[in-house]
Amino acid sequence: MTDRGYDRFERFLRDSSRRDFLRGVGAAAALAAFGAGGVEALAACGGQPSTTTSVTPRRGGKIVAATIADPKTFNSVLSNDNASNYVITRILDPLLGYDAAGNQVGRIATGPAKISPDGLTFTFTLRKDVKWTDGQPLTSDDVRFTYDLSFDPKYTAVKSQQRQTYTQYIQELQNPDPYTFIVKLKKIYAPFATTLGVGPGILPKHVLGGLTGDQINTADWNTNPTVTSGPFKFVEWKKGQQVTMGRNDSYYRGAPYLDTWLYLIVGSSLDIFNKLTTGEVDVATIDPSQADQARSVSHLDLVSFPGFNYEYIAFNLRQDHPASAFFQDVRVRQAMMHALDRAAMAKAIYFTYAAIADSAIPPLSWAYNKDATPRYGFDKAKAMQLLDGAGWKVGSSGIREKDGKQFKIQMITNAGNKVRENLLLALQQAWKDVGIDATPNYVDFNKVLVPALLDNRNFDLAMSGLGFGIDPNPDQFHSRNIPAGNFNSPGWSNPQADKLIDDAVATYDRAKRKAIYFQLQNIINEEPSQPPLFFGTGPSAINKRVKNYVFSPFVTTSFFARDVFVTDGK
Amino acid sequence: MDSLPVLLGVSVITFALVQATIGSYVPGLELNRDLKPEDIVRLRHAIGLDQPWWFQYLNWLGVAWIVKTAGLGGLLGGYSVNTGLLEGDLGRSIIDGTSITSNILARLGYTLELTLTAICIGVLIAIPLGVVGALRRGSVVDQAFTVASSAGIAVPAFWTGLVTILLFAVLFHEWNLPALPTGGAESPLGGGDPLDRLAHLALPATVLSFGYLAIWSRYVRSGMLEVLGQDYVRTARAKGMTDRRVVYVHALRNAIVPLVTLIGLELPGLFSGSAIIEIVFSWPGLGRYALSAVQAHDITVVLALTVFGSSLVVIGNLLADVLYAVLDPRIRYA
Repeated sequence: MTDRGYDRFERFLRDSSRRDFLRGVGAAAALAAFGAGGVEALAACGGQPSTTTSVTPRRGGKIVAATIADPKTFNSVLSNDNASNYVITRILDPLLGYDAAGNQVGRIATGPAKISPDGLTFTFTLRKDVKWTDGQPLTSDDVRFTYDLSFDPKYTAVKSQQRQTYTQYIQELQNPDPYTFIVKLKKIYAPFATTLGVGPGILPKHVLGGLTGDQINTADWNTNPTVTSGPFKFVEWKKGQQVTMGRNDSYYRGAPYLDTWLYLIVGSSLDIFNKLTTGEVDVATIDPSQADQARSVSHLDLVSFPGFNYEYIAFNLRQDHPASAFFQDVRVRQAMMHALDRAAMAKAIYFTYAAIADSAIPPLSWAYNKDATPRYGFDKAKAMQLLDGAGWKVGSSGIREKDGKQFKIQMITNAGNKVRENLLLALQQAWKDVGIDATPNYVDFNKVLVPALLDNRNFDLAMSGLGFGIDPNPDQFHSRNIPAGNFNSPGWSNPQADKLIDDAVATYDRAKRKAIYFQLQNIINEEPSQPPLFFGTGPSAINKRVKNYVFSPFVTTSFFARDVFVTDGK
Repeated sequence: MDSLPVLLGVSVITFALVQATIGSYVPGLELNRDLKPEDIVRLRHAIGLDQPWWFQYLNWLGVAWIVKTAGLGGLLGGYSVNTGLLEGDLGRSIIDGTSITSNILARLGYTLELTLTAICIGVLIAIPLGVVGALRRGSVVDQAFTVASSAGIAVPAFWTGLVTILLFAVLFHEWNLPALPTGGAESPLGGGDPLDRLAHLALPATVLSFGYLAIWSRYVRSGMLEVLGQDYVRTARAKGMTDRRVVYVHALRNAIVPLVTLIGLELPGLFSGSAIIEIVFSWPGLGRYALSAVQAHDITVVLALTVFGSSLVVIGNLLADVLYAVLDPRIRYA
């Protein structure tokens, strides 16, 4: 090894120990910050949610972001993947956006909706200065058209994922004048208070209005959106290569600083990393295993934060399924949770880029109860004691038995997802240590895992990931969702929890909702049925020359692109 | 004409395999708590996944369209019919609704650029290497080539790719030497001129050619050895021809016949065989497209690409047969 090599090695050791220390401090500080509802405090420890700066912004230059998956469509109503949304949020504005702390801010609407006293009428007032890139004014006709794609029966063929929610709660849509858009509800649905306005980016009716539902699914505009309203204009999509976006000089909030926003589509996470190193790419999510190396690159900053999705396990509690013989007793599920050393798993499997989930509500949410009880820390003795108490005694083979039946279960997760495959191995070992024989099985996502979780419920224990929006409503625990197709896979039913879930969506009063969710989190924790294990905090890397780039799970739709600039103007 | 049943068989098997992995969900969707069962049913209907498998196949093949046009639509159970393969329509992706033909065309040029360059490099180096190896059999040069080509066959292309990227793109950049791009087919902004294209092409084409080169040079070498020992070569020498003329005109022409078979069989590989290189070098070609379609369970795209690929196998075989006849007039087909 050369001297230079030794230097690097020493630097690595020094940095990694310092980092571990920082992270220890960071976790406590971050937790306090979550409690206070402030995301800004995150910047002081470990992660850095945005690259806000005091440097005077300068015009010109480009930013290059990168992803592995090709975008699918630039139609905001059809899109459901990150790559597509990344482009859409730069070229199409919705009524409202979120700021870094998750508060609603005006975009095409002047501000959050005015909600009538009975809570059933949402009135949005639109800005009068918004123009499409072809010069046409953007009016309530366009807004209504966009929402109608997920609501009007004549558009049933449109592949929107919102339709059921909209038709279940919305009575009618109205646009009495060009700058007023009204949504009348059938009944109060609390999540709408934060999600209805931050809906899809508004689509141009004068381009798409003449098409049928089927035609909208395959419209040319979806892949070549020439008429848009956002801070950047669509320039070109070279499939498998890049999406090019250019500055929209007539953007109603003022032209953005950057000339060009590029979104590269590359072959592997390794190539993303190489390109970050050489400066060919400015910002991208990186593989946790690359984080240490990225840290040693002087022009990169690393950012991480817990997002709105988690990995969870589901115990099958349905009485018609044989596995319920093991899991029916709540002490068994509690014991299995206590048997898990999740801190060690986060280190070994996520390279520390994961937050242990103590609640089904994400730490960044206002409804997160950081004191929710009980908590399932690693406690092998307690796990053993609970299992003994439930009548499962260690047999001669080392496996627990009860009434002549051995505690042997099958676990499934989707093949190809390395994190989940490794997690199942860790669970197998952890449960073996307390006398439970759990065998991991890797199955196809569409063919086996999803039907098991949603339809036939044919599993003992399943692991998957679940994503959800900004509203904390933990609807998957409601017994109404036990029938096939819904997300109460375990078949868990608790009348008290049902009532709390229903009550919480029947009021817009955040303080009331918060009190209900605090209570609910205790009940959900007390009886683990589909307990979350980890919130991923996957790291992103960003070139230090980029400023005002905002990182936070809220800002997938926050539209900060106008303010981003590069210090070297290149 | 013999090849049509082959193609049909390939499409049936591919369809059955893809169909078997589809499951009851909507391909391309992640689990999302806010997704309601009614929406899942509607989304599956919108892409035709609620139709019976036999109808999906006939519709994709274009038979359903013919049946309907013939006025026998009643036989089809009232499902919505569109044009299919027999009408020259490769269909649309079930994931994003885009035209598969245009998706293939957008990538075809890049794949051809990469593979044809690699094959040219391969042929241009493999032939002299093989000839020299055969003429100086057992010499140091020959042994060095033998070791190098064994390594070329044994070392996987993705590894060679990663190492060359690390050296020529990342480390050269770090050392402030003139570095090559890490991947991609052209510079994202202001790229596309010949020099820029060449800089992007250099590494992937060279690495891809290693695999060809290693195998082909062995074939040329052994073909050459065999031919050099034959009577007509001795006769040519006895007539007093120069060594050069004997080797490069008389012997080589016969020695490279097996190489033509290999290159002919490489034709489908022209479009798909470079998938790994395309991933490692972020090359925007068909191989990457095929892989992402398989991962996303995009049935129609997988079917289209498989049929496209197997047609190329058939055409490649045909071309190789024709070339044989050109190279060796003794080979004639009835």
